[in-house]
Amino acid sequence: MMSANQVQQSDPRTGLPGPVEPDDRPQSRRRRRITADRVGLYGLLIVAALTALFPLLWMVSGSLQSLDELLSGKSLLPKDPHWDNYITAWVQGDLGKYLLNSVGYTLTAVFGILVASSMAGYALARLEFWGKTFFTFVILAVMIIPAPAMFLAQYRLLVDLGLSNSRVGYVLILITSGVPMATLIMRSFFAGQPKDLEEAAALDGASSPRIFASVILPLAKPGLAAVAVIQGLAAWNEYLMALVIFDDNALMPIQRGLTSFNSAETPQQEILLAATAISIVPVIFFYLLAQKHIVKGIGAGAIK
Amino acid sequence: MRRDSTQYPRPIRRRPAGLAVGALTLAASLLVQGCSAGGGSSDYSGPVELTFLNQSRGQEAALNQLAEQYTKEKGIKITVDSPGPTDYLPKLQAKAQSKAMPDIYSSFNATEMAPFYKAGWAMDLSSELQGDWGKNFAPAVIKMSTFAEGNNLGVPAGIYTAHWETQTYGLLVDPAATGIDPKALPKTSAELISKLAAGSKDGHGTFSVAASLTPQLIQGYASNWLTDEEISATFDGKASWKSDGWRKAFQLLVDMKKAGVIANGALPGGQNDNPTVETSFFSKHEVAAVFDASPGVSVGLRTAPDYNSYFSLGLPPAADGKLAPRSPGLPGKGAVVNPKGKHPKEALAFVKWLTEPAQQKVFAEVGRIMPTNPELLAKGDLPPQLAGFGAGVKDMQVLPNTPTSNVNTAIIRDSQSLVLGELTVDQVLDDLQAAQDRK
Amino acid sequence: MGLVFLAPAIVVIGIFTITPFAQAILLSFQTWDGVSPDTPFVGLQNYEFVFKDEAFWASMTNVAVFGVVGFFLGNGIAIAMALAVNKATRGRTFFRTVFYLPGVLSVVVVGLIFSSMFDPRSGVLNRMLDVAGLGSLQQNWLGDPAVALPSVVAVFIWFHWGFGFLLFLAGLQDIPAELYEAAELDGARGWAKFRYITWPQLAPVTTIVSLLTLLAALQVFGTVQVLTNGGPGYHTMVPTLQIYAEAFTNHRYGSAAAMSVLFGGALVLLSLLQLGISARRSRS
Repeated sequence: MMSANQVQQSDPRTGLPGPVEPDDRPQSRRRRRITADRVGLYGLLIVAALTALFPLLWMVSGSLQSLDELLSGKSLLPKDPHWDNYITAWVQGDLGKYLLNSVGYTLTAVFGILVASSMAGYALARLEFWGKTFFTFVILAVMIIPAPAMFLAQYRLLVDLGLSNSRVGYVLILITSGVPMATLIMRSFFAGQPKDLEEAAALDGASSPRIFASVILPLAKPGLAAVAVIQGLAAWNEYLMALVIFDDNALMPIQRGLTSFNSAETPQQEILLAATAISIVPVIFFYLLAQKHIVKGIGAGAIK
Repeated sequence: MRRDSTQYPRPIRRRPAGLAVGALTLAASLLVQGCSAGGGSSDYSGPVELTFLNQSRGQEAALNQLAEQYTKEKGIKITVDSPGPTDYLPKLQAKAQSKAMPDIYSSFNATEMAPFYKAGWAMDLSSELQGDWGKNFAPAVIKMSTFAEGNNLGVPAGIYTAHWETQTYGLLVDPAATGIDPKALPKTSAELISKLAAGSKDGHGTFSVAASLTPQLIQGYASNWLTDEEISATFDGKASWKSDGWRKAFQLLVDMKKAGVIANGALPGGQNDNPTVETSFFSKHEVAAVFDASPGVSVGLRTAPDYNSYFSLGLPPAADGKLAPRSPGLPGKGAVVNPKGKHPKEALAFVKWLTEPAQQKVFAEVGRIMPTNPELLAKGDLPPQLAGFGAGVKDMQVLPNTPTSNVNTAIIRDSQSLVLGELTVDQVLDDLQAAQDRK
Repeated sequence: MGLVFLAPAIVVIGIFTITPFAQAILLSFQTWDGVSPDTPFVGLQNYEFVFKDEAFWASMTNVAVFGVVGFFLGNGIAIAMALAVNKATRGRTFFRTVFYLPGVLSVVVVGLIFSSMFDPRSGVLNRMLDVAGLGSLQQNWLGDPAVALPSVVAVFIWFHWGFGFLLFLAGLQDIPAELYEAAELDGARGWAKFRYITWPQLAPVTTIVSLLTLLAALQVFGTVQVLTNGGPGYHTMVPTLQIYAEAFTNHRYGSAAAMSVLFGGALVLLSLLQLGISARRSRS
């Protein structure tokens, strides 16, 4: 099919329909400018992608070098790819066990954060109640003011509750760390939603929880997905509390497994890079799943 | 544009109930798991178990090996936890908070450990060391670990640590790149600087030292003019930093900078500054001489096992020095016994065993570190890479006082500024005095 | 009813954050070395010290630079990229994933990668400049006071812009297509569409992203710690790092807490100011 900007020329020699040419007349110049725009657009995207990717590619390249080669910094690409670095990383770092732990902690924490923050965000964005400004301020303050002894005090609290060296304690701390920011993000997403659907549902006599579950949550998928990704990453990379809470190797998350390669006295940086490469695979996978929910399709469908 | 407002999106009805059930099951399962993981506490009537919190990765292999051996011989289970050097202190502090301190833990430098000693987490080993056990250590090592009455860190007098490593400081030099012959060592520091300047290719300096080691460099070089007592008094705030000895010590950095000898014209800083310097020397060969501590040799062994043609030497004396320069001596790897643990006697026994000559030999061989046992040290079995450090042990500085952390930080940062030309030596000394005076 | 919705979040924060938080504020009036069971009162002594501490105020200046550059440059890149990805028809998933990848790494690994890349002699950056004939632009990226702070800021932006990008993208997806179609029928083109539809529709997201990225920039810690640890000298020192050093290295939790209160207080004021500006802008 031809679009309005294309013209079919007849071949002067045979009089038969010739190739379809882009229309050279004034109204088709918009199409050509669009082409130049497209080149600029994709050019920009590709340059940005290279900047984002280059250090990561360096990391992968480093993970395949020997320690000598890596430290001497001479080569951009490994002369002799040391695939066994990955095996060493997996076995020596006991990565299988730690990865499983991390996946468990992250999924549970993200679930808890989504529940708490979507409800709280909705309340702060849409509902009126006593102390609303106060609570908003508290959530903001807690997120902003750094507390140097915070991790010590939190650990002490867990010990007093009998939750030290336990998975429950750790997940609770992960949830606590993520809720303030997640709440503020969800609040802004909810604030941006048009109120029509909610008002209609309220007129129909639906109660707040029902409105929340049936109307708000489905439309909030992009926001929920974004929060899931952000908080999931934060939970995955969390380190200090895991160090302090867990004495038992079997309970530790992946970040602990990585540090065993990062030592001044026994540097194994090539293994560290390999282990890191392994550790980001589940995250990328999770991200690929979540970002589908940020895609226009679902959002637009709900609106229609 | 108004949306169609008469239809709610449909499949959502069951979600709240589903969510609730899901959440409850999850919570329940976690609780069950949590209880089982956190529950088990040790049984007094059962076999003795000890925990060892280990700071150093360099000795991790040797320590694990020895712990297994001990378990086989004595039937006492020893769990070694090695969080690594950067994470060691946060973990130890957290443990102190929860009163779940390990039975034995690595000793670190005195300034970092002082709060633990003051809070009663370390057994006083003075009486034990007066007996036979004390013969296992060179007298200088025992003196180094002793906190004298009225020391500047406020720790009650006593000895709280036992060590199996001696640490001294000095230079690592590549003879080929610097043209310095191990048999014809430079006689003064000025000679060293000119040799280094001659060896530098196309203007790139060939010497480096990590900012975090400048306190030891300054302390070592200042001993050309200051006695041990004067140095110790300065750390204690009883003598001024603005004395000639310290001035000339910092002047060394300025002289090196002027001669163009310092690589990149700056001292590397940051958390990994010493590993960077070591990599630069052992693996990249970008610099031909560095100032490092004796454990640096074991790092070189691990990262560049094929490079062995370097040697170590102490700082050469200053041309106008009044005394022979002495390396700062620091007790290296060692252990502290927790007197409030469940089995302090067994813990002490294990530590004693670790310091016996047979075990020290294992540490020395596997880790390539210098032992503390006088016979092992005297045997002179040290390879040339360690020999220079070893020679420094004889007259190393053994001081009752250590620089406070404020002063330490000030030296580190001001040395960098000094080399960059942002501060003069006198300004540095003023800053140090201010840091010293801060209580 | 609102309180019921708010309950889970508040309970969790209440138990695990408020108590330690209140303790930290209390600590600013005490002296503590982190281990000792005693925490004697010292009144305003800590605050006195902090006000006179040059290093602390130098760090505040540095972090202001971080804040301004990180905020404008970082957000500018994030929103430009979100618009670009939104507009592109091919390879969307690829670009979406790639742009977020830098944020996936832990800060320790980022430090390792960039320390190596920035090495003055053997680092990739200087070597590439050499190869490209731009050898005169070579620097001691992390050791020269003139370029150390910009280098660290650059790494921070590389690491963090994916965060704003993701939120902007989610916000863009929420804008109904009908608004754009109606505008096009009215003859609006590129810039006009952005100014009258995209920007206003994005307002709530922009507010929150602005706030969070400003806070992230001002609270920067890990990036600086692993790259330069505040050096050379104090040229890249930032308040969070100073607080950490005061607590952990100097064993002075009391004055570290005082620094936190002062610094945190300044941040809270700044955030309220920023929220106020955004609120006024959206009303007009």
